[in-house]
Amino acid sequence: MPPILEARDLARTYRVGDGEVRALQGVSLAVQPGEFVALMGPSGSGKTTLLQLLGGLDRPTAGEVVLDGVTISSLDDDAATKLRRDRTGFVFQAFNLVPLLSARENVALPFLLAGRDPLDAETTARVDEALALVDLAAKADRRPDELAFGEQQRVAIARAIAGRPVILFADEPTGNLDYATGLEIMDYLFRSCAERGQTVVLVTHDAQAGAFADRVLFLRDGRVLEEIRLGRRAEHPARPLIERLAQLGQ
Amino acid sequence: MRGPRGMGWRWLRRRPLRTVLTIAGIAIGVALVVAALSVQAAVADGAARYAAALSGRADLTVHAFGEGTLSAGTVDAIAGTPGVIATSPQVRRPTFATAGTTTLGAVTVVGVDPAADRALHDETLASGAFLASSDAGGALVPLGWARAHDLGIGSRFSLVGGGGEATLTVRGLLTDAGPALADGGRLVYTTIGAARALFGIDAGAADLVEVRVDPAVGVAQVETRLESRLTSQPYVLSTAADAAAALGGATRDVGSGLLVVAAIVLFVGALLVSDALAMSVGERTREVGLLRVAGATRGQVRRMVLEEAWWLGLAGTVLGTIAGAAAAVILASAVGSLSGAPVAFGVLDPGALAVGVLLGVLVTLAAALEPAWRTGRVSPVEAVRRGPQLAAPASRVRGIAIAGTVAAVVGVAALVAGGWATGGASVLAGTAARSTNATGIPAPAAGLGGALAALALLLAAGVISPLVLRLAGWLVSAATFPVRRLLRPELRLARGALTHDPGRIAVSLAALGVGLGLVVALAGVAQGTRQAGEAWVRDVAPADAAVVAISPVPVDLGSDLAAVRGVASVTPIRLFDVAIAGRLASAMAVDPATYEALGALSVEGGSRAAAFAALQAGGSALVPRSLASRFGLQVGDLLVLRTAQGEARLRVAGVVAHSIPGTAGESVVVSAADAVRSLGIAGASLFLVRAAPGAASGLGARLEAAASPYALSVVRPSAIGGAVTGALDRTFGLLDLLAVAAVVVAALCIVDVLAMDVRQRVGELGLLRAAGLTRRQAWRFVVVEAGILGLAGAFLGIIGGVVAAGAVLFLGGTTGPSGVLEVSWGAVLAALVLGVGGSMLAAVYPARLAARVEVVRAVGVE
Repeated sequence: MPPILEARDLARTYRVGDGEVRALQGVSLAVQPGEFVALMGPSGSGKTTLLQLLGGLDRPTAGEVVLDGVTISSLDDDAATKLRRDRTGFVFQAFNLVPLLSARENVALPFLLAGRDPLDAETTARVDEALALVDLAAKADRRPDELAFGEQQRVAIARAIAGRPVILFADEPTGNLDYATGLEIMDYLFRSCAERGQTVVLVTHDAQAGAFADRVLFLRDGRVLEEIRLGRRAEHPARPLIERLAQLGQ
Repeated sequence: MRGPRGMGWRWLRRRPLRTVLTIAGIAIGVALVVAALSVQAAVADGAARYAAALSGRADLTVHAFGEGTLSAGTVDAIAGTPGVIATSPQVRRPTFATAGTTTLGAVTVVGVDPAADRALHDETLASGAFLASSDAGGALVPLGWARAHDLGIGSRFSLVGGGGEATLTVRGLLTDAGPALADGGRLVYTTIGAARALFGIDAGAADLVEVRVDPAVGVAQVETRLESRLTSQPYVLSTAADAAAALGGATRDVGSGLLVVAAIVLFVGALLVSDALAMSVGERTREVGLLRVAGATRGQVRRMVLEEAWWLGLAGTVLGTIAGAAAAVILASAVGSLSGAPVAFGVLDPGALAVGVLLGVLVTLAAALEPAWRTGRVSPVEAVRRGPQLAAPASRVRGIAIAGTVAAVVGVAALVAGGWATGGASVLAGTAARSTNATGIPAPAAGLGGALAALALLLAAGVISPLVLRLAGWLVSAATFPVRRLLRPELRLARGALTHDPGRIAVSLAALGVGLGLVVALAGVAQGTRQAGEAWVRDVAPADAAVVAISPVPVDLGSDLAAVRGVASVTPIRLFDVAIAGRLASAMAVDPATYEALGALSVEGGSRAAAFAALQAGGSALVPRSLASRFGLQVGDLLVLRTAQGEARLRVAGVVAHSIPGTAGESVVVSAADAVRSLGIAGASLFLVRAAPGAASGLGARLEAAASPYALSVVRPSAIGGAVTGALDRTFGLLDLLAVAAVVVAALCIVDVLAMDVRQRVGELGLLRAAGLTRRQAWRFVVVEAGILGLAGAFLGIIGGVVAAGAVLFLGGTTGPSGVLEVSWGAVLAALVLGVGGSMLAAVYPARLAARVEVVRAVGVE
């Protein structure tokens, strides 16, 4: 089966004053449909930059990204935006919800932006399904400031999966949450993957979160240093991952 | 302990766009205040100089009462009054001039004793020579008038007067300055003997006598002595100051209107300052918290905000003063064209300058008080923990509501106090006192009281802005409900953004509402006044044409006009001055039968037929409502009219809504028979002509042919209406320009708020972009948001403006022909276009900011 997402020799350089920062240097990877991949690494390793390039939020200095058969890295801004809207979902650490919209409206946002009626039967059904998946059907009409942080992040997950994207990108989704709530969020992500076949690419520095992935790519200094295959598991002990990271000297 | 020096300055430099916009807002307000004050000063100064130039060295002028003359005995008595050191009797009357077959138009003949005149005035000659006392056939004319009619030294022209015709030869050309500027420079100076012969005036008599008073005695003393000596005939005394006041009166309302509108623009500017500083404070909450943690006192951080306001106020005031000086020159010429006196705008008035500078700085500092107070309340712990507090809607809206309510109460109190002080409801709004002025044109309702009422109502409307914003959002939803499936996401997002937190943009909305309300209110008042003026013309002169005489002509001329083909009826009317209870008033003598047949006059609270029947029977008068309230007259009361020739004791047979105005307001209507019999007033000042059915076409030309041999001019009533509306349009056009300035300041406010909003919501925009919002959609989101804001502002302005206009017109006693306020739909449309279009235009820059938001950076912003 061809990969749903493929990065080929990606490089990203930023200009900082008179100098340059090489955030990524020749990164290649492939993600299969339904796979749960985690990108881990210390601060400044380039994991978030890689996620932004993979999701079409940013453009590489060199190399290319092919998403669902389309070379997203060569599209112009409008085309990339539309591809992102139609085939991807994002969950961020912060700024995940539009404060002026209710939970239901936030989940329906991608449909609204695509010009679809957020009230039509199909959209409503998909929104309700996504909210049910994150156990928030009862709080669908609440605004973000009326929800707990964990609940807000669950709404963000619901929004990201409601459009049935081919791939879901999550950037430190548990970074602002306490331990228990973080596990809860990761469980929802895992369930979307296991029960719905959702492909997930996760960026995290938290081994407990990374342990939910089938495969972990470890980055350092803008390169993929190691690939750790954990496999699909019903339980997600962090110990094997931590031990492997320890072997790598992390 | 003083705060860190220069922090305010540094904060300003960090947000250059906001700083520039705020300074521009203050500058526009200050510029208009400086300009309005300078114009007032320039107009007053121009009127005083003009009056002084006309008066020359004369301290007093004694005029004959009405159309009578001062007898030779009176003229001698004036000259012989102790304390009078020089006199110059004059015959001064209007007539027509012709040169061969060419008509030179209306002129004022000034008959003087050349020696006596030159003792009081310094006329200068451009060419030729002054008149000799014995030169009965000579004339001096102003250079401008002579050039306009190709006259030069030695040219001959003729004048027609009551005593016959005279042909004069131009001996000298006067420079267009001083007394030669009177009556638009259409003057013919000749010897008093020649003028007496021309108008059939007795030897030694005069229309007026200019008097120079011995400074050691004083004007007041001489006035008293004249009162005791001049007992044989009525007269009117005036001083140079009276003349200046009369000249200035024509532009006083316009000047007041300018000032009030300028003050409102400055008020809108203050809203902009307050909003800008509040935003700055909100953005810097964490910074202020750090300063507080580091040991800055509440007073110190407050002073930093005030320092920021000080710099803003200073820069805005300096720029505004410079712009105001330039605007004053333009405004002065525009206002000057509305008055009879030339306005020479010279050096900027120091008073205007001082007031402008003080207002600019003080208003800015006052607007900074609330943001400064809020800064002082920033809790160090909360600020550092929570970061920027960009919105404090509830407290801000409460503050605006309190300020607006206080202003409204003060405005209404000032209005009511002003009304009581000047004596009753009919003079409320500062306009009805001159609801019909000397020209008969209902005065523009732009008085101070009216404007205060407008301001109060606009402010009251401003405080409900959040509610109106919700209403606008709801209306947009309702209007687009049928096409909701096709509704663009931008509209939904924009509406959601606005209605979610209306307090965020409440101040901008209030500013926009005030500016647009001003536009609507001015237009509403203008329309109401214009309609009242036109209705008045239809009421008092319901004719197809009016044939007007410069000075009274025999009534018999009416039969010549009646003989013109297509004329159905001719109604002669004589306008003259009378005294009622020792006070000057105007009267009109009519033929009751024909005037009634025209359908003229609306009799209030009684039968029109009965009123005219009483007039026809004699011994009765009809009084206009304005005069009835002035003298406390009711139907059945005895009214005593006096002229130089006699006295009439008449019974008030009816009160009419309006009548033709004379020199002292609307006229008492008497029958021509009573006027001749009791008051010694004969002749006609004008003839109202009614055309036969289907014969109106070409009637004007035929009437002109019949009227020109008698030096009569033909005026169509529509032309009178046109003159009324033309004068109003010029006046209100000027005020409208200033009102648009308020909208411009509000637009600056919107640019600032939306730009701040985009910066504040950069994370949210980044999220939307990540979720699929294109750059174009982001751009439209902000522009649509501004459009809804503009629509809400327009609603607010239209409602507030219509209510304000209605209040001004109601309090001014001016209503439309239907008795209800008729909305100026043009102004409503203008408010909608200005509000929605202006706001969307103002949103272009913030929208570009929104479109440029980089997702990667935005989602990384905390």
